Amino acid sequence: MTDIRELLQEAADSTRPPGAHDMTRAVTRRVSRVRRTRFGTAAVAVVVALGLAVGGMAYVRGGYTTPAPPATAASALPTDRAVGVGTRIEPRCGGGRCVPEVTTTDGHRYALPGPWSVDGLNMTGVGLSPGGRWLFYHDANGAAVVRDLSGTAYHRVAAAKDLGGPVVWSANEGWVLIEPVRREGPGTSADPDHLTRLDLDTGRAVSFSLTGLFGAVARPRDGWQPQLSLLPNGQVAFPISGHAKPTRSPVSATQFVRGDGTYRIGDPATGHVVRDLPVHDSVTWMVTTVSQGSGPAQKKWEPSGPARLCALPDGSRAVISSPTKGRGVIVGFIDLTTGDERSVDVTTALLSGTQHRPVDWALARYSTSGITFWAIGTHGQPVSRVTLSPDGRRVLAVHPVSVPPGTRMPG
Amino acid sequence: MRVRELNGFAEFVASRLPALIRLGYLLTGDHGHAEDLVQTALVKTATHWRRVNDPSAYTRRVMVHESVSQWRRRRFHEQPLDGTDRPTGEDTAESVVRRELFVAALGRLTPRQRAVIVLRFYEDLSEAATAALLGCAVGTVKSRTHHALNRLREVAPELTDLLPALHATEVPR
Repeated sequence: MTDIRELLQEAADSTRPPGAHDMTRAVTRRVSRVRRTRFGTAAVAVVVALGLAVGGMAYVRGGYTTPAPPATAASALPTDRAVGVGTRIEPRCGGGRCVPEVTTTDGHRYALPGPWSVDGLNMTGVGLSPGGRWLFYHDANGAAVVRDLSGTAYHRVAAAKDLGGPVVWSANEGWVLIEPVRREGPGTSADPDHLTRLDLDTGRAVSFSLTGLFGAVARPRDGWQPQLSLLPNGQVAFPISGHAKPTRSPVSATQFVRGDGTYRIGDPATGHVVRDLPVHDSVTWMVTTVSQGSGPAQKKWEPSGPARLCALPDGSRAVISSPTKGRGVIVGFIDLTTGDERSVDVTTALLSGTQHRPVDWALARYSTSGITFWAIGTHGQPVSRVTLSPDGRRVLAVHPVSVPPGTRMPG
Repeated sequence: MRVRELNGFAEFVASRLPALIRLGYLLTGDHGHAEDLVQTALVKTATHWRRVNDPSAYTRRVMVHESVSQWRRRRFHEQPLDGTDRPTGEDTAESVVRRELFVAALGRLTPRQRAVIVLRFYEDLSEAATAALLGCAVGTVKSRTHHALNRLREVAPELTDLLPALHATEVPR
């Protein structure tokens, strides 16, 4: 029988203590700082008292300078030094133009050199890797550049003018998959299957045709790109078409029902299909009731899109997530070798700020604290960051996030 | 700070840190704030290290007082739950849901109420020991416990069966 003591114990057990060595060092530093401050204050008091006693109070006209206001404008992204780790990219608009700016963990903002495409608040051609280390943008010449924000290394990708923005990064930040430029207008449509995979360690790029190499690709309804994933070893995973209609039936006029799907893992370097992976409940079907004249109403089934498979840095597991009954999210863990699956339900009630909203999900990163997801609200805005334990059995933290419209988060 | 002044402090941190972090989490409801609270308390403990007889009790006392004073204006990151968004019984991760419900409900208590609940039911202190640690009367501890349990029942009726029944002695004066 669970009682309040066990509830308290369960809650307490969800903590993960920091390293004792780091904590001890932080504490001793703070103690030293406090003592230095006390000594310094006392010394200053003594000097001031002596000065007043000996020389009397002096007033120096014009000796004051107005403190500079805190810098509010972003500075240009320096190329000769590290700037830290990026936390987000957001458009800053004013005077009829918008400039994408990257914000680092220390709060500094840097304007991206551009040119970039900012359609209203919809930025394309920019992105941050899951850990915020790598920044994707286009330089002043329009070339696609992937810059290491924690250093000065960067990769300028060949055939840059044909490259758009990053589609997906690998969770270990070893690779990025880049899509072609989306051109508008008749006769200028690009092939969305013509992708480029960049090795972030070596800068080596491989261009390939997804459909040409690996066959039938399932795309989201009205979607330009399939739900692509990058494994830590550089292999690509994506859903293939031909989903079977779910056996479950909807209970209301319009409802989403999940069905099974298959993901294909392929190696762009060799063009070989590594394996096909059946995954339960990975495809969302929209079921609507359609009236046909005086005849009986019919149910219309449409696959609205498979979920993105997100490979974890360990290389052996991946997760998918999908809404469950409009009230939360089910997170599935898949063994990439055996295909074994396990799922965890996270209800909407745990996701502050997401109440009453449809929730989509994206894997942002895998950190030492666990698997971190961004819950995405109705307007594509991340509203909550949810951290699961590495085994996926516990929700470690739920943090609401407030960011300006159009902000691009890492991952 | 000289090393000899903190003889044994590193060992103390290494042995007690997990327990202190757990207490900090229950007092603040946030993993990051829990670390901040523990670090703040450890700084005070280190400052008086040579004069403290029982560093563990001293650190916990500082944490409780800091959580009431410094953290009182902080709110939980989790939003209060309303009736329409309560988890259903269909969830497979029942313990996770129950725990998160409970943590969210704890966040609806005042810092003093939280401290009383944590000290009485997690630290298993007697009413007299709790009163001594908080620097208040035993009757105050009783009334705060009563109000805190009532509040938990209000904000999380699903947990009512798991909360201790109110005894006549716990009725506020």
